[in-house]
Amino acid sequence: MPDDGTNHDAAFTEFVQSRQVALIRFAWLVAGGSRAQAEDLVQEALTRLYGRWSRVDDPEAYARTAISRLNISLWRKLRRERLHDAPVERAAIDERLEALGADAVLVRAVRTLPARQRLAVVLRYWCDYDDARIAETLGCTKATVRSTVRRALLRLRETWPQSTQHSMTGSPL
Amino acid sequence: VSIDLEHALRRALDATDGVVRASERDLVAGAVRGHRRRRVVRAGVAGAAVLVVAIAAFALFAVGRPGDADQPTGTTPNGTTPTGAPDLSLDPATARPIEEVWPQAIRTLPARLPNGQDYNVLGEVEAGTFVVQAKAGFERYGSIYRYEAADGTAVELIDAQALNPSTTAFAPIGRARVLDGRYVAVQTLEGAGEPSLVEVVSVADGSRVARVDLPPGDEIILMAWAGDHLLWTGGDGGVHSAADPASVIPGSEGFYLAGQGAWAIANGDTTITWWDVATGERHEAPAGRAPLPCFGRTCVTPVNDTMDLLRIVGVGGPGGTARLVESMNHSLTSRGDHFVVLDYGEGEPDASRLLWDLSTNTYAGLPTEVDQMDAAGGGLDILVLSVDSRSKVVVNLTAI
Repeated sequence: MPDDGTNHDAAFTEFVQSRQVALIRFAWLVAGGSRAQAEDLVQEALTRLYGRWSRVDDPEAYARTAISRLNISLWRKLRRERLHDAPVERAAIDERLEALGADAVLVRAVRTLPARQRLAVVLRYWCDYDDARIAETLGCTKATVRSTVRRALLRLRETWPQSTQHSMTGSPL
Repeated sequence: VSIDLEHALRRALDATDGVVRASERDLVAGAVRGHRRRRVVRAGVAGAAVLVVAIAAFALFAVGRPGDADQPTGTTPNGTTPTGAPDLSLDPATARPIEEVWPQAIRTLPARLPNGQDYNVLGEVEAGTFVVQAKAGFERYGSIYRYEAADGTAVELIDAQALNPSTTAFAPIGRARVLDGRYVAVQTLEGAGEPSLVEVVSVADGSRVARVDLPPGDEIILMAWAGDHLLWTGGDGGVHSAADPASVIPGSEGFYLAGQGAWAIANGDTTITWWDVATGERHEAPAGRAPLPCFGRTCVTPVNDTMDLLRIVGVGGPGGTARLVESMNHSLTSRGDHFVVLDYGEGEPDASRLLWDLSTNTYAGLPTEVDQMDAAGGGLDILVLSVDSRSKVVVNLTAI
């Protein structure tokens, strides 16, 4: 990463412009809340990233980790926040989500999982992180990751009836 | 869980491309502004911080502690418009450790119960008498005990396996809560879609005080003891009463219990409403840019775009007057009416955490390494300072 101030800002701006949708989407999935809440998480993560830009090798991974940790921190769990999207944006997201058909049911189910389970599922099945990387992101052990994902899948199976019809015999929980 | 489900998950998450669009905010400008503000705060000299604290403390003392008496029903809790300079700037760099600031609140306990199990401290109900819950890893909770520090004995109050012998869930019971300083309550964990129950026992002798059968799928987040019966808030919000577990109390839709008696809070887009479900007392305050943490009868709302200038509003306690605090991080919560915990740089090497006593405008440094959520066991009267192989050191906030 360049150290020069001008290049620093230009590179940071380019990164934000090119990756902000992906980051907001990630935050929207893991936060389980509103679009506004997702943007708050991304804003906070980018603020931290900006201060460390010259020292960060993989800015998107750093931002994802920051979003993840911010989202599962104790104090945010207790916030009981009620952030809401503007009605127009909320309706637009609902419409675009609805267009996904059957996938929308599963996405909605993911977004209603408890915070750690939701995060573990998104990191595993969207970001393709392995147990070790998820454990590092969440600040826990690999065993905890496995049990967290397992519990999440148990809950998701309730929402996804196809799993009972097509489950593979002998698949371990 | 089938592999089909995992395939479906990958496909569904991938399909969300296009659901979320670019932000209308200037995220770059926000990041630069936030970073510069934090750099300025970090560069603050200790003398200035002490001066600001002294001025704020004097100002607070001069107008009287707003928490001396509850405000009458219907009054607006926050008395001033949140503009101008903050009342108090907190500086993690100059914060003294909590062991020095409030030594009377520090408790050192053994690392293990007499039976060798690790445990969470839920509360100190009398001097030297603790309610603790055995644990077996993250979010795995076991039996509940009354632990006497003087002689190191632990008396079982709730046998987790006996209470829920048939569970196939992750753990037989969830995290317990101390209610009203006299009781301890816990929800059994059952298989998906199955009903569970809440057991409430006396800390003094373990006798059952109440048992409530819950509808399938109900997950309790916060409980309260309202004189003679149990209230709770589940994942869907609203306040439930043991008198009618299946439905929320009429008018409580949108409210959630706030961790202090029967007080419930509704965070609206424009208004924060406090409601004592037991007495009917209500208060309202305008929300800030976005309603943020509420706990006890206190809420914190950011007043600027970068959310590092915060307004503390509340009912009855020291938060009863609007105040501003310049913070490097808006991630925080409060315990009761008296304490706010502020996190700076969470998850980063230079992270720090402060405990701020609203009643005296005093603050102290806390360690950041401990997972307080798991360790606190849902009882925010207790914060964990350190845990090692021999002992665990905790802070009893009620002793401050």
